[in-house]
Amino acid sequence: MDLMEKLEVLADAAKYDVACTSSGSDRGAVRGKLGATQAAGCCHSFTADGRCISLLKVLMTNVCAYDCAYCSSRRSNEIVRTSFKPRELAGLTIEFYRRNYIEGLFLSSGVLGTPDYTTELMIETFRILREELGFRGYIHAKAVPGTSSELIDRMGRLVDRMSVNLELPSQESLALLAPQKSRQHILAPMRQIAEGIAESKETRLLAKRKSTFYRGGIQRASAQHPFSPAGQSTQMIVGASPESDFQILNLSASLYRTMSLKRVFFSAYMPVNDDSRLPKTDAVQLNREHRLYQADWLMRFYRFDVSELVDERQPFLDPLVDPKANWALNHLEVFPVEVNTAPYEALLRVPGIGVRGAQSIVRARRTATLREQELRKLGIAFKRARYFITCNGVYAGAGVQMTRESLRPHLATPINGGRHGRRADNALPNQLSLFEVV
Amino acid sequence: MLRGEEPLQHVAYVYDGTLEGLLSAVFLAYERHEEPEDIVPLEMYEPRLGQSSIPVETDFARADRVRRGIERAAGRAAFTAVMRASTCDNYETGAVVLAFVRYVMARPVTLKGEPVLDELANPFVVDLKRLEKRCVNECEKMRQFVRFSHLRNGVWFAKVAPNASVVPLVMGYFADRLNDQPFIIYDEAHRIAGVYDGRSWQLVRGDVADVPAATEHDALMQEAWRRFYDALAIGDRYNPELRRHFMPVRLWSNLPEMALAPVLGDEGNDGRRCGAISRGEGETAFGNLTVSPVHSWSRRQESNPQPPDYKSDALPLSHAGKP
Repeated sequence: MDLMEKLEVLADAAKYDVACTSSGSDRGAVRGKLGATQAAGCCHSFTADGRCISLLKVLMTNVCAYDCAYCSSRRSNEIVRTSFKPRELAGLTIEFYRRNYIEGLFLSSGVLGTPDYTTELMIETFRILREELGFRGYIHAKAVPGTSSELIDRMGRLVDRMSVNLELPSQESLALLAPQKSRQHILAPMRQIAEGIAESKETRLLAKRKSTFYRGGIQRASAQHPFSPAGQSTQMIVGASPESDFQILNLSASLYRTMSLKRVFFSAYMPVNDDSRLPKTDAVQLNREHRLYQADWLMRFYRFDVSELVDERQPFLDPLVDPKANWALNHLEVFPVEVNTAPYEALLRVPGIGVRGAQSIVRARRTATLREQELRKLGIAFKRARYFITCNGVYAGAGVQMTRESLRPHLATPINGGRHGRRADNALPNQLSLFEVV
Repeated sequence: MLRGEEPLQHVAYVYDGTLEGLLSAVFLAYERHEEPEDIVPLEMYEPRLGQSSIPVETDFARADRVRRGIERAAGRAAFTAVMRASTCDNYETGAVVLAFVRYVMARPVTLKGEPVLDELANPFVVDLKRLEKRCVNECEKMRQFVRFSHLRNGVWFAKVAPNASVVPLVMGYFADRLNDQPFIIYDEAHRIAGVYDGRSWQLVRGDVADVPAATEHDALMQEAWRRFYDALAIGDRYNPELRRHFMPVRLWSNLPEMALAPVLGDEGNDGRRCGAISRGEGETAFGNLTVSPVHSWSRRQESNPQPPDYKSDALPLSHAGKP
């Protein structure tokens, strides 16, 4: 099988891994060596489904010893199986990088024999890239669950970001759908990566500080490569198992807190296998995935706490209204806020005012009083925000009462007149499947 | 200062398209105590009814005086904004820059401490920031979508067509990142090329003709990239508007992965139908073309993609897109 065909097979097998950002690492260029990274990352192309392509996202091999129910490369599927050789994959990465097709490499893998053997193949690829070819671009490695800690450490010092997929939000679902992956095998590498990142950061901070005493031990440590400098992320499948948004978001929040993850990715379950353990519908819960990402953004950038978004009484996010607007409707006593005097955190809570909008309001109001005509030019969604703000004392949402029932239809209207978001339909509840046996 | 000449009412200043030319035009407006309606490069100039034009001679000393004036009055960030805005191809660029400079020079003393670019309620600042944003976005698009191909003579060549003259602003980025390969980025819209010889980079004006052929290995890598691009698309998530939002169609002509796949019969918007193409088959309505197998639907370009009732809740997901 030639390189072209291998690339097609292994890229096709890797496409359900949605973690494909090239951000978090700021490695400058060095004369004579190819490549550099930028902290913001860079998307180089976009697939037909609108997702960004910024890395060469492939599997090392799609041979797999595991039999996870949801995976297209599982052991019991009959598909074409192949594997990259480390040197040819490194060469392909360099060729694509020189043409500015990619920022770097994203390497995941099926389990070839044992997790350790697979990881050694991946480490060989990274070693060739970093040490032989002097590559300074971005590398994101997916650690195989169950790998030993020495190999995780070695790999972490060669790559920019390392992650382990959680796959499913709870232990019961994991045991049902991915029986060979134990929760311990997933959490142990995650913890090790988190500790490695923290230790590496601390060491570099200490090494930077000037001091008068001899720092022999610390100096040796700082000469080592930093461990996974762009942090860690993870991914879970949404819709393959019966957990509620409450469980998923709480799990997300605790991961951010305890493992200092950069991001949690949600992937809507795509039916690729026919299996009795999987949901019997071919509908894809894209809207639910969208709402989960919106909730995730609120937690990371808008300083929301997870209990403000979901709780036991309402364990699912509202599909018709986005989580921020939903919070605003449930807490109307906080509104209206005065844009000229309200603190930044209060402005962030207004539906229609995002992070950029709040920052430009704070900057603009230092030199001018903001009335309606100035506010409209600032780049906020004024049609949504007008019910929740006053501009220099003037309330522009006249005609609508400040109650949940009257405001809800105004906020539930689709953004941008209905053309926003995917034009295919949402997954409907109680939908019959073509494959259902009646 | 003009002797015996009245300032003209409807006048346009015509400059040579460079930043120094634009700043010289600004200087001229102050010198002649005039308020030109437009300040445009010569290639773009179209006189309004009753408008006369004055050619502007590019004078580096005058341009430098204007630059220092802006920096003294409003700081270096303001001049950087002016420099970026000046690269845009809009007709109103020159007039916006002149209005901004006039405001900056006449700014009230009470606002001295605040950065001028934060005055987002001021229409002159807002207009300049809009153009600056356009330039910065175009720089980002360049970093994303420039595609090099390896020519037989060893040079890596890329052709681009941005809507602002941003090649000078991104050459440093590429020279850093690809510092061991000599490359040329040719901007065909503005007829300017950035040339990096392995050591330093410079700009060359003019057309690029007689580009040598690419190596065979390069053709192989382009095909590998196309196959990779097609393999990544997931049919259930097909969303061409989202792709167009991030990757505007005007950029597709220089992207190898968006090279037109032949349109086969009547498939509407259903991406899945094209998956039935078997490997290597070539018979199409356009003659014997090699169709990239299985996923060529991902590169189709539709002129009118939406069936009339796509938003109907009555359609189950598995029939999404079918009219």
